[in-house]
Amino acid sequence: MSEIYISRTDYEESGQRIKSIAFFVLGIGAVVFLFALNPENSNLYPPCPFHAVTGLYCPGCGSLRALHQLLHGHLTTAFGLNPLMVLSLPFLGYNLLSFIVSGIKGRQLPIVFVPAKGIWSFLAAVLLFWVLRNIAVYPFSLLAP
Amino acid sequence: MFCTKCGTQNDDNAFKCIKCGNVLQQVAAQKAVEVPNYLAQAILVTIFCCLPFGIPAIVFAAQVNGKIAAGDYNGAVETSKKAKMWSWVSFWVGLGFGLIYIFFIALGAMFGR
Repeated sequence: MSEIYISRTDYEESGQRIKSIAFFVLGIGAVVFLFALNPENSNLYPPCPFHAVTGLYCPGCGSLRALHQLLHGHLTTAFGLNPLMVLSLPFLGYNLLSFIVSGIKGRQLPIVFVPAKGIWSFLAAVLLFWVLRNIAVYPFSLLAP
Repeated sequence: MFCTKCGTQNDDNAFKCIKCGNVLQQVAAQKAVEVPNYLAQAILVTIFCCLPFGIPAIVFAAQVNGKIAAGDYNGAVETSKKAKMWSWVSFWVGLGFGLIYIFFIALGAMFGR
């Protein structure tokens, strides 16, 4: 059997260390900005393009407001604004940490291998969430941001 | 999937090869390091770029891991590229929209609305 790998050396030589540090600095900046300025009462955050065009909510609507609430320790409010974001956060956080650590220390954290079935289920959940949060009838209206 | 040691065809979810006992799932996990599926990026753009382009990225991420589990590494590498592309498409379109928005906000501030 022939085996083809995406070359790790290319990846590493293209300055993954610099990328990781840049990500880290940008990330800290974004967190500080998001902590200080509530997207609820600021027009400095771009609106969701999908919502702007269609008037409907997308699976991501409310995620920035939810992140702002999370940074202030309001888990319930954040969950009410966008439960999908809150539930995805541990996975995203681990991957971000892994990216930063591998760039700075040059060593990979253990990879999380999600079986294909798990990803398909996640996709189904996202699409269902997308549809349900646009139904303006209780209890679906709870899913709207 | 096919056993990487002896080539015997096994059930997709088989932990060990039925013929030689080679551990199969561990191999799949190791290969995943070499063939990224960009799932984290796909979720990130779906949730924060607010654009439907994150959806194909998730579809391709699922296909990458499906192909890894089936032992189709060449296919996984091909699909991995598509997953990466869609994450970037979503990211740049989202960023572009954001920049245009900020441009108009700045314009409004300058000329007083």
